[in-house]
Amino acid sequence: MENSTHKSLYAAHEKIHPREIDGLFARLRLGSMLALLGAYYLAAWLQWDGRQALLFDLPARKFYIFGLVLWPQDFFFLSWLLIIAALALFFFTALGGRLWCGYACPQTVWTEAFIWMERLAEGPRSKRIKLDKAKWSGKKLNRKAIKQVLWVSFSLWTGFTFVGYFTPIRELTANAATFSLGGWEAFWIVFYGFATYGNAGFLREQVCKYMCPYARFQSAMFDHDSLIISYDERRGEPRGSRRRNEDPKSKQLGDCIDCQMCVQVCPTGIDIRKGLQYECIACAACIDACDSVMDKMAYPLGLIKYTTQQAIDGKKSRILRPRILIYGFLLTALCVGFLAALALRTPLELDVIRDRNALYRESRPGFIENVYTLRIINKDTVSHDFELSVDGLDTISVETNSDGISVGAGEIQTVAARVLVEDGIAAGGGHDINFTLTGLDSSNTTTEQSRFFLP
Amino acid sequence: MPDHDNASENEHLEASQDAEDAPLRELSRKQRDIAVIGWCSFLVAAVATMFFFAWIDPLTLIESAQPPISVDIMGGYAIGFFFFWALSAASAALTVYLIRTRRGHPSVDE
Repeated sequence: MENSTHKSLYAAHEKIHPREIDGLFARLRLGSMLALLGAYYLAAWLQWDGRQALLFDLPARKFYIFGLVLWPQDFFFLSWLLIIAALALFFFTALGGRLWCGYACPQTVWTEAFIWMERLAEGPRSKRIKLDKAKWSGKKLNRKAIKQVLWVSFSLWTGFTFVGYFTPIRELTANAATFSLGGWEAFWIVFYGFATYGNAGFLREQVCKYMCPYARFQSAMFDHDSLIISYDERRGEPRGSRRRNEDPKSKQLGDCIDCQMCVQVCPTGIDIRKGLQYECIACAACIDACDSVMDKMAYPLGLIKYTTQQAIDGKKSRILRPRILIYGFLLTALCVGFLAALALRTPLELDVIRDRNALYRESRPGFIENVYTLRIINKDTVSHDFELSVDGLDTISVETNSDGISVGAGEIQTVAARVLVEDGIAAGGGHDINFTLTGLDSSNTTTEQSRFFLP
Repeated sequence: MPDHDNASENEHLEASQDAEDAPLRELSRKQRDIAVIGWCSFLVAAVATMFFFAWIDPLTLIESAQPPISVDIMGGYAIGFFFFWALSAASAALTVYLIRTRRGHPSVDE
């Protein structure tokens, strides 16, 4: 068991075959994974109002999220959402440790799915290790081939679903069925499929160990009250094997029977008994493994358990502490603000562009005219009629070529507007004026400022 | 999963034996460096692409390209993404190279 004490910079890496384990946390993890994988593979197929419910339509530059249509101008919502996600990660890390890594990270979820397929094709852990060591034979070839077929199809399906969030997935299916996929679509399916295979089939825990930034900086979000998975050294040591009914005290042993189960189930191949290590993704497989052994030995459970540094030091752990309160307050404020901004969002956009060729001109005697181009974007899913008005100067009025302004659903309309003001009512130079677009059949109203120039 | 119950006690010994001479899958430090460079620059490129194209329509870039290029909008996004990826990978690779070859760094003296 001490075979790994020799440390080389060129670390020889053993392929890790995690042992399968059942238990409370294994079931929680399985539930979370099925929910996440199910959501990923199925959500692309949901329909809403006769279109795909979740569609990031890159060619049209519009994001459809159920009833909501986001335009590039709404990008700020997406940035806001990213900030919320980052803060939520801080909050849950401070509270529950690496919950993200163990239960929700795509790397963990897809790796587990790939290991499940590996188990399906090659059998449980001991058989897989034997098979890896065995010479190539028809049986080995057969099992490895089955595994590769499963892996490659699953990867391609993953890539296909991914592209299905950007190209309507029903169209994509029809095109794939008739072998008439677009070049870029085919490319991205293969690219994303390859990435899935590489990360979840080949690299696995090495992504967490060597490539993941979060794994390295998560310790900055930890404090002594954060949940960690830890081995109770005082209770377990000195470890040693014993017969089932032997009294450990007579052999001067602690509760750890040194069965290596916790090491064998670990997907990153560490020994939790050596203390908290950054490779630990907090999947809690070792808790399930150790509890099952403690149960069999009729020892109390929890030799390896979720605990906090405070509890290990014999102090009381606190849940409510400044860090949690600050993160929690910020997170709540951001979420409320986000929902409010989303609810108050007007699906109408008005851009006013001044005519660059002339500052002003005298159109009819006694009147000064400035010319503008208005860009009206109706981001709603139905068409609307609008009325245009201007204010900011006495005697100001606006003329357009058509009587009313009607903009279809999701359309952009360009309108030329002439603004007239009586000469001499204000000093020469620029003045602020406001264009207001008022919805005639809706409450969608927006105001945009511009400049009016007088001689 | 049900099979671990009664077999486990014998299997513990057997399995820890197995682990010792399990086949080795070598991933050298150079390979790890490449993985880190590729992955981190991929993440940065994904974010950069998102921010860049939120403000700029690839079609306006394609239309004003000199010499003219014939690419559709999806091609525009793809070129943008790979451009950002190449850029951030180059920066990451140089950073790793300079850190690795710095005097006093453990990897220099070996």
